[in-house]
This record gives sequence, C-alpha cells and structure tokens, in this order.
Amino acid sequence: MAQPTRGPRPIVSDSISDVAAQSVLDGLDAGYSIDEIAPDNGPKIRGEARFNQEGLDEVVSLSAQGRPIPGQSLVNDPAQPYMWEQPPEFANPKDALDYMVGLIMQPDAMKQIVGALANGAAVADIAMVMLYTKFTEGKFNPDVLLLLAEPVMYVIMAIGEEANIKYNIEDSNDLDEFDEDDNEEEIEGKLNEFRNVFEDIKNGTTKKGIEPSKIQSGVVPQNILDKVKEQGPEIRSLLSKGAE
Amino acid sequence: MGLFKSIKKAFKKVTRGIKKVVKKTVRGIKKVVKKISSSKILKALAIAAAVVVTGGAAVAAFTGGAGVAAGTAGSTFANWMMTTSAKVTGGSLFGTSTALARGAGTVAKVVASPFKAIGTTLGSTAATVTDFTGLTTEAGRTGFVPSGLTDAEISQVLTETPASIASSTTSGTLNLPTTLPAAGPVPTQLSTGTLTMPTTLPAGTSIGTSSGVVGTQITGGATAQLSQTVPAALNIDPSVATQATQSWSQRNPRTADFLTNVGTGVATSVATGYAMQQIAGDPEETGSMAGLRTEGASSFDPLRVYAAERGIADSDISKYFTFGNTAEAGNMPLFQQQTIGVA
Repeated sequence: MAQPTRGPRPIVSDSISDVAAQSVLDGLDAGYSIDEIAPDNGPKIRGEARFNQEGLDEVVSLSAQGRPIPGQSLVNDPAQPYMWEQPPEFANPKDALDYMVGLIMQPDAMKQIVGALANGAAVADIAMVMLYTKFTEGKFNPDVLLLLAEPVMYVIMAIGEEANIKYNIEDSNDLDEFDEDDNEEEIEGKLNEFRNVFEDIKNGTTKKGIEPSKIQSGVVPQNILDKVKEQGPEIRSLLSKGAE
Repeated sequence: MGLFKSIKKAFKKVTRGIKKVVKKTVRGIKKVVKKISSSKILKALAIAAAVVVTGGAAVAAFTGGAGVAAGTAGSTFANWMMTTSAKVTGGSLFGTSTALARGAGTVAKVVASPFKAIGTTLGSTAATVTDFTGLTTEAGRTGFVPSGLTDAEISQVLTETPASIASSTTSGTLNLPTTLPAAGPVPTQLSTGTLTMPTTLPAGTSIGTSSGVVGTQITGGATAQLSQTVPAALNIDPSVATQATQSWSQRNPRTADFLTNVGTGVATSVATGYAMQQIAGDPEETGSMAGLRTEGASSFDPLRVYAAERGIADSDISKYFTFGNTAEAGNMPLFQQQTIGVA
C-alpha cells in the first residue's frame, strides 16, 4: 500500500461529480494507484435485467386495477390534505440527505438495494423510488427531492461497487456502455498507431532519399522475379469468387 | 401536466444529466491517466463521491480501510479523503479577509455543509447500524485508532460485533460475575483501582425469583433479546421501540418488494411508473393511458348494464349506437316524420 506523499488538496465545486473526479485525480497525484483507490475484487456480477414473464404479468395485472378518477383530488376534503400537501418534515436539504443516507445504510435496505442492482434494476430507478416514496410521505418537497438525486445515486452506486456488481445507471441495459466506449477507444488507438507507423515508414523512406524510380535493377534475385512473373495477374480482387 | 408527472419528468432529466456528467468525468480522468478501464474509474468515482456525500462516516471502510488512521501506512484512499472532508467542513480552508476567500467560502458552504451534517450526525445513527453489520467499524468511520492498543487487540475489537458480544455474554465467555456481592463496591476502591469483582451472592439473594430486573425469560437471538431488554431498561414500550428500529424496507414492504421482484425482471421504466402510481396514486391524473395500462373491468360496467337491459350481447355492443338520434337511443329518425304537405 502506497504512502501518500501529501495531504489532500482543497476542492471547491458545486457538483458532487466534479468533487469526486477531482478527488480521484488528487489521490492519484498524491501517490495512490488506481488499484488502491478502486481495489479489484475479481470478476463482477452482471446486473442484467432478465425478462421474466411472471413479473411482467404481475405488472400488467396490477396496472389494470385502475387509477384515481379524473378530478378525484378536487373533491378531497381540504381539511385532510395528503402528506405531500403539508409542510415537509425536512425543509433543509442537509437534514434530508442525512435522513436518506441513514435509511440507505440500514442493513435491510442495503440488502434490498444489492439484490435489486444484481437483478438489473437501474441506480436511477432505485434512487427515484426511494426519494419519491419519501416525498409522498411528506418528508421533503419536490425541490429537495431533485437536489438529493445526485448524492443518493452516488451512494447507491458505491454500494453496488462494494458488492462487486456491474450495475445499470439509467436504463435497464446500459451495463456495457462504458466498456463499449473503451472498445471504441482501443480500436481508435490501434488505428492511430497503425497510421503513425505507416507515416513514419513513409517519412523515413523519403528522408533516406529512396525513390522507387531510383531503385536499381538486380537488387531482387532473378529467381524471385521469375516467380512473380509466373504468378502473373494472380492478385485477385477481394470481391472475386476465388479458386474453384 | 400534473405535479407528479412533472416530478418524474424532472427526475429523469436530472438522472440523464448525472449519467452524462459521470461519462464526461470518466473521459476526463482517462485523458489524464492513460490505460485505465472506464469501469475502474467509475468505481473510483463512486467511492470518492460516497465518501464525500457521507462525510466518510459510513463508507470509509468501503475500500478496506477500516481501522487504519488517515495518513498512516496502510491507510486507504477513503481514509485519506476523510482529511479533505474534515478540512472542508472545518472551514480551515478559507479565510475571511479576501474577496476570493469569501467567494470560495460561499461555494464551499453549499457543497460542504451537507457533509458536515452527515459527518456529525451519521456517526451516531446510520453509521452505528453499518458497524453492526460489520460493513464498517467505528475506527474506520472516525479514521483513527485509539492509542494504547496492540494490533492484535485492535483486530480483535474490529472483528467483534454487538451480536457476537451479546452471544459471548449469554454463553459466559466474557467472565462476567455470576454472583452479587454482599455489599456494593466502596467508592474509594473504584478510585484507587482496586475494584474486586463479586464472587459470591449475598445471603438470601436469588436471581430467579427477582421480579424487578429480571421479569420474563427472553428467548431468541441476540437482536431479539436486545430489542426487548433495551427498551425495558429505558422504560419504553417495546412495540414502539421495535417500530422505531424497523428498517426502511420493513416499513415500506411494498416498495421493497417492488425493488426485489417486480422492478428487476421487467422493463424498468414501466415498472417504475407503476410503482409510482401504487405508492401514492396520482390525483392529478386526468385519464391518460400510460405504459401497460389496459381498460379495467369497471370501465365496461355501464355498457354491460346497458346491453343487458336491451338484450344485446356484450360482444355485439359496437353494432348498436348509444348516441345520436337513432331508434336504439329512443329517437325517431330525422326527416321521416310527417310534414305538412304543400299544395
């Protein structure tokens, strides 16, 4: 384990993503390796959403149970408002975040979250359900709900990482999005490498003053030249039918 | 658009934005540090962000840094980061003399204050819960190890959980006194450190017959025992205490079930939409059909009654007009009534 060469630098930002990125870069700069920051725990469990007819049937049957009658809310007694129509319990986002993180860190909740991530539920969906439920319980207002989205998502992601799960972030099948980017980058890198080498050879040849017209005869042994002549127009198009 | 739909839409926008930011950040780090896979960076980001959000209180041990003081050999990135959190929340980073410092202080307040709140309060609430699970330890959370303990002692403490301690207590391995003294310890003995633990019961004392402290025999595991003995000691109704200690999933079984069962096997967006409706209903809904919504049986009832009254088969009901100036609707066809003849 590397010993950091210095303490962490102060970071000022209005975005948690940015703070996290800067912290990681700062940690790398201070002497930590990426493996120390994000230790490798072996192959990850793929949190793939699998089609489940039973689950789908359940959703269909439940969703067919009907909805509130249009205008139903207008006939509610104003003296008995819904929880979310009353002043929220946490007006301060700090307190609300504390409350939410406290809930997420409960052992049972963690177990459920890990299970859901492993079964393909997206981080955004889990965060939304949790926050939305608390909103409907009158814990905080919609503005605070939106402010909590990012930190809560990150906490869920950290739980997923700790559980060694490859999870979806937004959709039910964006598991490999980052890997796909990696592959694209790798292919692009290889192509660039090839182009560079090709360019180098080209430049090197011209630098040495070698020109095809100046190549003297007799450099290639005669027997090889004869062979080439024999083969003749053997070089076929890639689209040609090939040997019968 | 109703309030609930607006919230859902806004949340979607926010999450999409977050994903974009994460991607952008991963790319940004990749430019600086070459040849690292994106998933590795994502993991590092998630750990760093979680440490920032919780003030390091609950996830310091996520990278295996439990029990290691920040800045010492073997300390992890999370331990190291906790120093940042402490610095930011402590306000030692920003002076008050310059405009820049004042400006920075304002920004830092926005970012840092939540961490401060978490860092202080989580230590006594959620973090103790995570300690209980063994996911974290107090040493991991607080980032320091009390001096005077040997490594062996520290590792022993870190492996103990309340459950193991409780079970040790019940099995007698903690060597707690089994008999009560005839007289209580003298205060001076306490101060001079010569406290001797009791070895015999006073005459006439019997634990089994006491009705004060030991009322009923509590069975079950350590958790079950604690859930009854602690509220009793604090003079709290055990049912209230149990309710208070229930987890989020216990208090929200429907949502938890959704997370484990429904939400995982099917198209998540549809399921989420359904869950939203089930959790609270949508009083702002004005008849739109979304997702997998199908016509409920109740919506057909008026038509069924109408058909039954007229002896029409349900499946043929579309052949009969129920509106307009038709014979079925009880009206005479237009322009067929008798008119005054014109000579």
